[in-house]
Amino acid sequence: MYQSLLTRKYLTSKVIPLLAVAAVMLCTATVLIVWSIMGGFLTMLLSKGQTLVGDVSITWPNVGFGHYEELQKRLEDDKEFVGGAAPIIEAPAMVELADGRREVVSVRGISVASYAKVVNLETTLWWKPIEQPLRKDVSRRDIRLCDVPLSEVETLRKGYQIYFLLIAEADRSSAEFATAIGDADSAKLKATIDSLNRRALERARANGLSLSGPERNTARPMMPGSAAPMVAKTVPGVIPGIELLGNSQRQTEGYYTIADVGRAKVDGGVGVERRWSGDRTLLLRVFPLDKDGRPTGRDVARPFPVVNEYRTEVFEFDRRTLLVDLESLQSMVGMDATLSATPIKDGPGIIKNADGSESFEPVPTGKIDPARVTTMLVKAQPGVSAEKLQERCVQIYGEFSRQHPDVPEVGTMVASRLIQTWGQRNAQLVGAVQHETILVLVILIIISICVTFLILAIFWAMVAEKTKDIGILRAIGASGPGIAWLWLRYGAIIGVAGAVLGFAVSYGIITNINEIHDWLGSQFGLALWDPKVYYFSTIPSTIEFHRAAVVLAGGVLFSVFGALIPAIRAASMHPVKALRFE
Amino acid sequence: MAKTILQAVNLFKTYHLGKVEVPVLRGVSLDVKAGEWVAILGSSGSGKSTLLHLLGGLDAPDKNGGLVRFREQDLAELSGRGLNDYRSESVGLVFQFYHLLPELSVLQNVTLAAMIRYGRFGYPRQREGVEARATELLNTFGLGHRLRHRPAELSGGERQRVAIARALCNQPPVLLADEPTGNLDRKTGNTILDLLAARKAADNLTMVMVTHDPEVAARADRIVRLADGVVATSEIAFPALTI
Repeated sequence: MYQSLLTRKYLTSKVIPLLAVAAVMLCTATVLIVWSIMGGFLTMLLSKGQTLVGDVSITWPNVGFGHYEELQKRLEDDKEFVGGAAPIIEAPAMVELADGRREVVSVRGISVASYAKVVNLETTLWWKPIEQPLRKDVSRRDIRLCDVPLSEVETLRKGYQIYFLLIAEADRSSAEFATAIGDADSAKLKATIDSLNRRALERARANGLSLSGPERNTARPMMPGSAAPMVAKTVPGVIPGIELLGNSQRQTEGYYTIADVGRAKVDGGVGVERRWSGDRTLLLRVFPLDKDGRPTGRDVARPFPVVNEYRTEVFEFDRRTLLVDLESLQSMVGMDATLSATPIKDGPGIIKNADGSESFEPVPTGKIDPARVTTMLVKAQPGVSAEKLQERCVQIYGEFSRQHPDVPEVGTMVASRLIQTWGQRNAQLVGAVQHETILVLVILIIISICVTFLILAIFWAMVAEKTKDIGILRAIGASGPGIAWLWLRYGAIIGVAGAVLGFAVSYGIITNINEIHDWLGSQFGLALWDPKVYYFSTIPSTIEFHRAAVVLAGGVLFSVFGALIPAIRAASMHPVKALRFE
Repeated sequence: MAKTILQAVNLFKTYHLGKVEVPVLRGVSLDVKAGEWVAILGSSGSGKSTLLHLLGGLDAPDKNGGLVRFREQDLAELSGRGLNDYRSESVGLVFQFYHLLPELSVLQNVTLAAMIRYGRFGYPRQREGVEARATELLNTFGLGHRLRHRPAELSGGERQRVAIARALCNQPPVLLADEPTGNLDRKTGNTILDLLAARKAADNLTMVMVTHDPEVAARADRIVRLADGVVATSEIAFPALTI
């Protein structure tokens, strides 16, 4: 009873305990803010990544497996677990980038109809008209809003390119555009540009959803005002990740602008082009393997019109992967249905090369090899976890592989971990973030231990200051454990007060962290959260209450630990010595 | 004839100052009858405060250094809890420097002893009665208007009256006072002694009071002179002779 009275009095009559509360508050808030952001980042990473590959993937890399339509059907027949299945091919490829570089990328052959069941393709497509600007885009600079500033319009009239121009070559050469340029009325020109931009974006969306676009006869599109280029039939297109080509440049507000790209000119100078990716044609070069995974020694190149770009917000995907029509890719990499041909060891198919190496010439067997894919993406039904779906996929694949001796056995697939959840598939990336989170937490826990020592020092000083009080309490009958409880309770209350205040502070900061970040940026030019580094344009801003509970409990626990030694010291004081303490 | 309530039997107590042993009590024996007021008179360093601490259960005599009995119960045989209960219920302690808790009000300082006695669960049930008794005591001591004041706002005499009220709040049969007037002027000191005498008369309180002032000691029923750690004399006090 006396403990509660004295705790209350000690708390309200001294400055030192308030400093201890402040220390616990700052520590709790720091841990909670950092943990929430890092943990939120990891959660976003996992959920965003899932938008590209579904929940589980069944993969037999490079060579692939046949009869995939049957596997797809078996999976999709399981309505309890499976929300959709999409066969795809994942293969390495080489593309030529806007600045002339050639880069090895990952090409993904998809069938739009099935892919859309697993992945919300439309959501990830970047180039489409939008009505509401992105949260940070307060000045409405996003081209997709189709809202060109009048000042920019006038720049165009003087013959300069403008950032807000997406209009395709055909439209730029149109009479409508030429009339609008010639018209002195800026508003009319703006309306024309907005309308043509919208049309270009609508077309980009439609082309993206059908993964096809107009065939172009050159990889270098026409400049504005040039003679009308090709108008051609619709052919399969390609959708690269938005960071891949280098044409689209991300801004801190989250939207993309069309980048200026320098190119060497034939006269030795350097020309600067500003071109929307949607105007480009991409030469895709792949390196086919035979059905046993042997390189065929030849490469296959084919131009594809870029019909849109996608953005999953996972930088590595957006930078390294492009989507192309499944059938086109199957035929390019030799995974379409073909007459079976097998090299015969030491037989007529083996060719001894001059340098001593061996190559082979496949010998037809007269059978037909079925078309293959390397991967089956599977989406879970709502409420089914990726792990549950993974178990079910193993069962279904097992039944499937028993029917088809020419596909990899389920035991091999499981042993080689080729039936994976998205988290397992990207364990390296996710693991890196997880480890970073743990590392930061460990550092913060060490800081928390420092707070424990701070509390210990404060309590040690307070116990020394209150030695005479302790002697009085012992003299009038208080027990040693009772005195210890007085100080432990005091520590616990300081911990609770500090932790609750820390929670309140961190809640205020985390829920407004993007606004605070923007304000710091506008006032001091600080951009701590670079979307290029952290994948996402916004900082995770949700507090998970189980994390808050752990941090709050930790704050209280560390405070009680800090008070423990002073409490034991107080309890073990000799009453007479305490009374005589000066 | 009143029964012995408190008894010290051949007490020895030695303090250790580093490697030096300082014997303070060298075989002190004392019987205190119920309702008796005993003054322990001695010069500084004679061991009178140490004797009071042993009687109050705040300290223990040397090993094989005698014993203290309260109502024939050897304090050394009490458990830790038993000793806490003894300090809480059987004796009340008053100190020269009052030893009030500065953060608490006058009323809270007085009821503190009862809070300790009854504990977390018992005190709420007793609270009303305890506060009534504390208020009555403080009224009797002329502090009825000071209940909410802090010790820092009181004079020395007022603080000592609060300390006495705290010592008496649990209605102990024995009051142990260590130089209760030592820090007060004579007039205030006499007021305190009058007050103690009145409580003794009213409650048949047994009092053991340590002092170095013969005039103060003369107010007691009996004076025990302590010199060099032993009882020099034990005599009936004659207040008239000290005037």
